[in-house]
Amino acid sequence: MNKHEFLSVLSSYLKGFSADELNRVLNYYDELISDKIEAGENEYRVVHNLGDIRMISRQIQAELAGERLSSMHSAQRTAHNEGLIKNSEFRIQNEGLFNNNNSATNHQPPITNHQSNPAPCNLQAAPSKKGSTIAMVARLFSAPILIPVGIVFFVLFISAVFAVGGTILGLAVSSFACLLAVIPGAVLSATEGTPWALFTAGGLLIATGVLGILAIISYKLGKIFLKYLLKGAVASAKAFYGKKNKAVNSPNPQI
Amino acid sequence: MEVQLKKGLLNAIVLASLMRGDSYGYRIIQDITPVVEISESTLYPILRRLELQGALITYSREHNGRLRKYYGITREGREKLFNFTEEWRELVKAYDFIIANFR
Repeated sequence: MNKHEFLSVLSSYLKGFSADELNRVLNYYDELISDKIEAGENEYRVVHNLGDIRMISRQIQAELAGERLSSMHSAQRTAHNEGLIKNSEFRIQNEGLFNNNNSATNHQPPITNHQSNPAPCNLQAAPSKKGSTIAMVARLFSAPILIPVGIVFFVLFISAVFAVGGTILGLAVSSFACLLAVIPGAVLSATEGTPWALFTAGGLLIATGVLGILAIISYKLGKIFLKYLLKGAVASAKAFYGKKNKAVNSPNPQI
Repeated sequence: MEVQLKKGLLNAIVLASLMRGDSYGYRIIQDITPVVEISESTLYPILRRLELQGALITYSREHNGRLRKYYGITREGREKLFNFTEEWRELVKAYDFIIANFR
């Protein structure tokens, strides 16, 4: 049997192959036989050594059973591969010689099956598109309410600051004044010598101490008070605002 | 060599033969034959499957008035081959175990 006969018999055995797949198989054997003949082997011997054609066809069919493509699909793949030929002009530098690694690494076809993992869903991130427009509208409409509320909070906070600060300042100043008043009192007691002056001076000293301690305590307390007032203001504002957002983002069962 | 073992190796061997450069059917068989017995009919499905998996690309070049099909390894093909070399370590461990118990 010569090459031509081999190929027609093989073709007749490969039932169910698409035209494209069939051509591939036939071209493969055609080329192989031709190469062997070119290498000096006898055509009939080559064909004979290939073995039983029916066995060959069964083997190929079995191996490619799961991978058979429709002729459409393989045409697309061929087009893809053909398109890469431009890049492969320099892939073969010398017939019969190995290429070095470098040229083979260039122009790899962009066949990637890698899929990057989608970013984890963060429910606290921006709401769905539908939700965000509603949220925006809600914010716009609630602004007239939120702004006065915000002002109230702000005013409360400022007045608290003033109240606390004023108390501290007042206590401090009066304690300082008492301290100052001790001097003339001491002088008076020295010159006049009256026990009343002494009593005044002593009393003033005590007053200074007491008021000073009160000033320090109220300063410390005032700091804490203001800190919590501020926290409370921020938290309540967040809660108020957050509640609005939550209501907007609750899943709509109709979607 | 036992068929099952051979099958797994052949893909890797064929890919490895393409690592140094593109090749064609006849030459692949010549390069591989010293290592493992392979017939032309065994090689074809391997080449075709590897191509379908994206492990190699094919293109045609004229040679002495006829078209010759060349096969080249892709990035995916290299990865496949690399994975095989990793798996091979497991195989060596298994072999050592077998040999140790065989003696």
